[in-house]
Amino acid sequence: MSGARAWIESRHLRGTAEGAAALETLARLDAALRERVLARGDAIAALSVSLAHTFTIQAARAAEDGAASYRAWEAALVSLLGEQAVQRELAIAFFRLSPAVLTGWSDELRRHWVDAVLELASSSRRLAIAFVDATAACAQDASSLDLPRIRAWKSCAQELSTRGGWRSEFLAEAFLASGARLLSMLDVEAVGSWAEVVVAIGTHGRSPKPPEVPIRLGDLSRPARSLVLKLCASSGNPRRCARLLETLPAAMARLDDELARRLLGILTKAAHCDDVPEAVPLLPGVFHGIPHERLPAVLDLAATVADAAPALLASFLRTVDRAVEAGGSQGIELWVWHGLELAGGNMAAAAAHFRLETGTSHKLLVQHSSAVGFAEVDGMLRRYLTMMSRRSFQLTGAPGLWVRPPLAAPEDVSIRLPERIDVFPSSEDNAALYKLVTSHIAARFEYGTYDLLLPELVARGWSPPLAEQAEGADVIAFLACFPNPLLASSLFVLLDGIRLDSRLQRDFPGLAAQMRRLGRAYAEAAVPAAQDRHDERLLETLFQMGVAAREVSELEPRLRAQGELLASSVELLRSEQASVYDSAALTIAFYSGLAFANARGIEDGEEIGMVEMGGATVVDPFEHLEDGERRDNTAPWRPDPSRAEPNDGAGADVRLQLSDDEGAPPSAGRPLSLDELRSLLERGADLKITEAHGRIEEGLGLYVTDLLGKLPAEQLRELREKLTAGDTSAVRAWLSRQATAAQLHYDEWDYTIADYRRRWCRLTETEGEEDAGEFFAGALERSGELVEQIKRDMQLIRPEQLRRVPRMEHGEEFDLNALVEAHADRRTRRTPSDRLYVARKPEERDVATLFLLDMSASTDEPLPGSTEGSEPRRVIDLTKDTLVVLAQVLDEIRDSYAIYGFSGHGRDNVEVYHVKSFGERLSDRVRGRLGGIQPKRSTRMGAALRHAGEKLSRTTARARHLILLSDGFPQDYDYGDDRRSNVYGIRDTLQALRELERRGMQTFCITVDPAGHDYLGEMCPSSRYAVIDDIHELPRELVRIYRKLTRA
Amino acid sequence: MHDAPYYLPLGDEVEVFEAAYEQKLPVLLKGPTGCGKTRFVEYMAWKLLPVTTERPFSLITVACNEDLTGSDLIGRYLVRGDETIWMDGPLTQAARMGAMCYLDEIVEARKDTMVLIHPLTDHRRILPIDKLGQILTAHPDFCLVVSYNPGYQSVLKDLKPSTRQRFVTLEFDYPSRDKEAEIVAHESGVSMDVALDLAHLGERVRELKSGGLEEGVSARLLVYAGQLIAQGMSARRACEATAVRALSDDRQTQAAIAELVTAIFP
Repeated sequence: MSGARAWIESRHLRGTAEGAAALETLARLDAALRERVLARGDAIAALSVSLAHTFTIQAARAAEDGAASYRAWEAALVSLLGEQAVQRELAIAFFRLSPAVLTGWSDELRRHWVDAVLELASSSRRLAIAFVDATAACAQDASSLDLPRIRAWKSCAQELSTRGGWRSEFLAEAFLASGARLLSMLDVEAVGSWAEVVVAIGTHGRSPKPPEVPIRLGDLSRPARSLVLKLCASSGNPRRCARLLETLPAAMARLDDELARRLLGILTKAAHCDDVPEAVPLLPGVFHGIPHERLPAVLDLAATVADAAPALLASFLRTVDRAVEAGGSQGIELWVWHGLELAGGNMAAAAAHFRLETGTSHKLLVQHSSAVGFAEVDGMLRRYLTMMSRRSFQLTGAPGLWVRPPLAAPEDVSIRLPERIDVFPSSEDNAALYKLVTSHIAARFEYGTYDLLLPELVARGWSPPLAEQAEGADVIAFLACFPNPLLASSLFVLLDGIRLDSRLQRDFPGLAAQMRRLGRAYAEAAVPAAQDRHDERLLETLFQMGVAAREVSELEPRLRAQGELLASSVELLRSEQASVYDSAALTIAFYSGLAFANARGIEDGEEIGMVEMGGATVVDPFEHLEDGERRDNTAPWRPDPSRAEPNDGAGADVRLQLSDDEGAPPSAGRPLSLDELRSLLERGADLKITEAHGRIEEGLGLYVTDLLGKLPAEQLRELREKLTAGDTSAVRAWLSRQATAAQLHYDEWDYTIADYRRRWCRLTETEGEEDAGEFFAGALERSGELVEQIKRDMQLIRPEQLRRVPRMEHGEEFDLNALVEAHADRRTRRTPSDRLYVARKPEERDVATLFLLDMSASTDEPLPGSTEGSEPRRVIDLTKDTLVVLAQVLDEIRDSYAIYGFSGHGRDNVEVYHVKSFGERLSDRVRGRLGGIQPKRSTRMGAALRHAGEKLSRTTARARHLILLSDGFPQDYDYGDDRRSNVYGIRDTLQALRELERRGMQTFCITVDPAGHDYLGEMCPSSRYAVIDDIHELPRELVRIYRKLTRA
Repeated sequence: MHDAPYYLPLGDEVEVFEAAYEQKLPVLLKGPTGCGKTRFVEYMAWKLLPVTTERPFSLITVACNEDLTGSDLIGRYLVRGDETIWMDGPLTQAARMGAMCYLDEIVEARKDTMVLIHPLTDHRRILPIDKLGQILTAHPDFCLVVSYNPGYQSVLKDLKPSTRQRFVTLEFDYPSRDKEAEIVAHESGVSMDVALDLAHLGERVRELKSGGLEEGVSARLLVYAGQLIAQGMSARRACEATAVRALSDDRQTQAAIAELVTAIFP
């Protein structure tokens, strides 16, 4: 090496490991090649010594593979940078690219690449550098860089650099950088789509950011990726594009490739619609819900919708699974055609139709299905339940499906049944399932489920884990005494269900056959298999042995070991003397078996400890007992896993005695020796603790709800959140709320679509607040003479309630017809009748009136002329005064009446406050509730009227009246799309009033709003409303109206 | 003397009735339709008032209705040929011959009619017949029994306290399942098992009384069902023809009872 080459002697080169290695390599080269390298180095060093150092390192690598390889690399270097590598930054970038990449390419590809860099450099050096750098990044996957891709990549970058204004270079750079991840993934055509996406997203907003390549894109097939990018690129709006890019890959990755591609093709037609991106994340769920054989037909229909009315595609796709479930293939076709017809005239109506929000859409779907809807069987089931349970209930339909209904609080008068049953191919069977579910509910009342008393259970030696914290003593309180009440109630419902079924079968032989057949069919059709977890397996085994009445030998092999353990418990529950205490005791036993296993597992540093027998993991409630104690079965048994170690001191009998409620002799008590368990334990000599995955809380809730009843998605989400948060008290609260809150759904009329929005309003009826009765007393005092006066007036109604009855033996006047006949009889020598008079007979007063009171915030307004200084009287106060007077009078003249208030906020929160029902007398509590009426929030009249109508329809009175007392037009924040317009609310109220009239109820609206004529006139005929101009006259006016109405 | 009517005592009602009869006290039977009131009266009449030549009937029953007038009970003049003759009404007949007079569903009668029986029900035991201008003193054997069904009458058709307090009151209810089964089995000839199922059906259907059915199923209807079954008809069909169709015209009620029938009878 000559002295002139001082650059190579530099310690900056020699001192680094890479440099030293390069120098060593150079030393090994043959002289000619070494000289060629060094000569090139000299030229570069003349410009920059450090650049020459970098060159040396890469040149040595290139030369290592031989002279040809070096020459190829050098040629690329020279053609890119010129003889002296004058473009320093580009040179640095070039040296960052491993020579092996370039030398591995064909001459043609290399030449094209060099041309591409040069071309880019001619417009922007930065772009050229980015391109080289991106090539370096891509080089991991040599196959990703071929001629067409390099061309497409370069030309897209070039094009990008001319678009997007001042950001163009920045965008093109980002595009090139993303190529490292993308190029290998995409087809050549899709590169352009990606460029479009980069432009769309990268030029939007104040501080635009080029998009990241979505991670899940790689999970799709190559054609699907192209389709995703094409779809995003054609969305025509940066926000839509970004949202699609975010959601599509993940959603499509969860679908089968063929389906995903077909769907993407269809979606492309509606890419410009705003609601498509929001629908995308739901698609996997929706399409997994559609039976495989129906998919092609559904996709064809989706394509039809996309062609005919792309704006409706998202609505269609969101609900199509439910539509298929409800209507089958025939129903759904009809549904689509009707929807498209609607789209011709009224897009809003069509959208509501496809979102399954309208009554008509449902009707269309179900008319061809074998499903049975709750409404069809409601009346029959209510009567049936009354006969079976000896109690009367209100039934409500709720979304979901279950054969073992959730345990409702015993005082709850509202029982929820599935809104629809579509499990079996025949509607007879579906209806029969309703009957079975109802029978099971009745059995809980009939066979003592609700007779469980916690103290009594404890006295029998069975304490649930949190017995000390029990609030109350009934079965609901019992279930709340478990750390995981969801698991406990599932166990209890399934265990007690076995007992109830067997009682039912004994007392109702006709049910037995149906139960066996449908139980089995249901278990096959509707119940998912358990995960491989002990808790789920236990529940599934219970379900299979209970609902489907399978013998152990009929169980699937994976459940058989658990089944053998359960067999004696099942037998016990099926025995004639079994009582709810046996179900409860077994619940504690099995729950604790799970908890114990869990606790032990944690102690041993494993997730869950389980007893394993012959490969199957089973739950053994008596696992913690020593073998000897197991044999004797008399050892202390405690449910608390922390005290699970046998304690010699305590000697409580752990025999699970058959209850002697029925006076069975003590000898009939059969120890729960679980003989089979023992023999199993003996056989499974090598009991060992093994690991199972997951904890009791996680995920189980979802399985349980599958098993016991499918919850609506919304509630499921709520429950899932609580379960994953591990917040057991929240789960408990959720359960009790589920058990008690009677939520009702009502349709609402939407004039814009000329159809009902189905189950649109969620209404809760609650007890109104109470005062101590002071308001009632005060109001009576304030009314002074009024009450007495009104009472006198009301008494006057009586004479008007007389009916003239002819041909009476006694009466006030002669019946001329009878007289003439009697005279004729006498003349013809026949015995004349002595019924010669007309009498006035009092007619029975048979009226029921429901007063529905608007409790909206506007009733908080002070009354006109209300005294300043002292607390001003408000509209609501006067309305309450009026009701006090009326209640006092009506109660005395024994007219049947009820009072309810309503308010709410939004369609999901319509509130109806119970003040007085028809059956109640004017008790202190009713007086208190009347006093407790306070202004609340909005005025969603339609739902409240429909609810009041339901109440009224249950009275047997001949004349039924509903009097609505309000102070303004119907109004709520989501009462119609346009908040400023009242039309929606008025039309819905009008429709609700019409419905009531059609059902034979007389309605009357009274308002104290001076502008009332404007809207009341629209809602009802003039004879059916009154606007009270002077609000102070309300009490008198109301009484006058009441008299007038009920006299008719 | 004809055979004793079949009656299965449910409690001490026979003894109470006999004691009241000995003391010449009128009796009020309260109870729902078809719980056996009429059969009880027949049985007591047979037991206490054997038929003799002076007393060709031991029991005279009047089904009251709202058109029932005083003349209908006491009697009226009839025109026969050229003369008018007096014809005793059922109440007068019974009082005269010393039979038992049973006014079924007394509250259905008009209030002024009810007042007519007042003098017969106290210590006087007399019946004023104003059209004859006579006061008839009741035969020592005469016995007045009235019945009413507190279930479906409205407030206006309640028994006046002044009337109510004149009677020894016996309250009837439907028999227990076992007793009813015994009755059904005896009357219809079906086996005890079938009779028990029929009684079970009756018991359940009666629960509907609060839920839309005006009257619970009577024992009589169950006996009819039993008789049809004894004739060889299937239990389901027999119940449908009796209990299901007869009780209500409401489709849903019919459907609910039909479901119950299929639940009980396999």
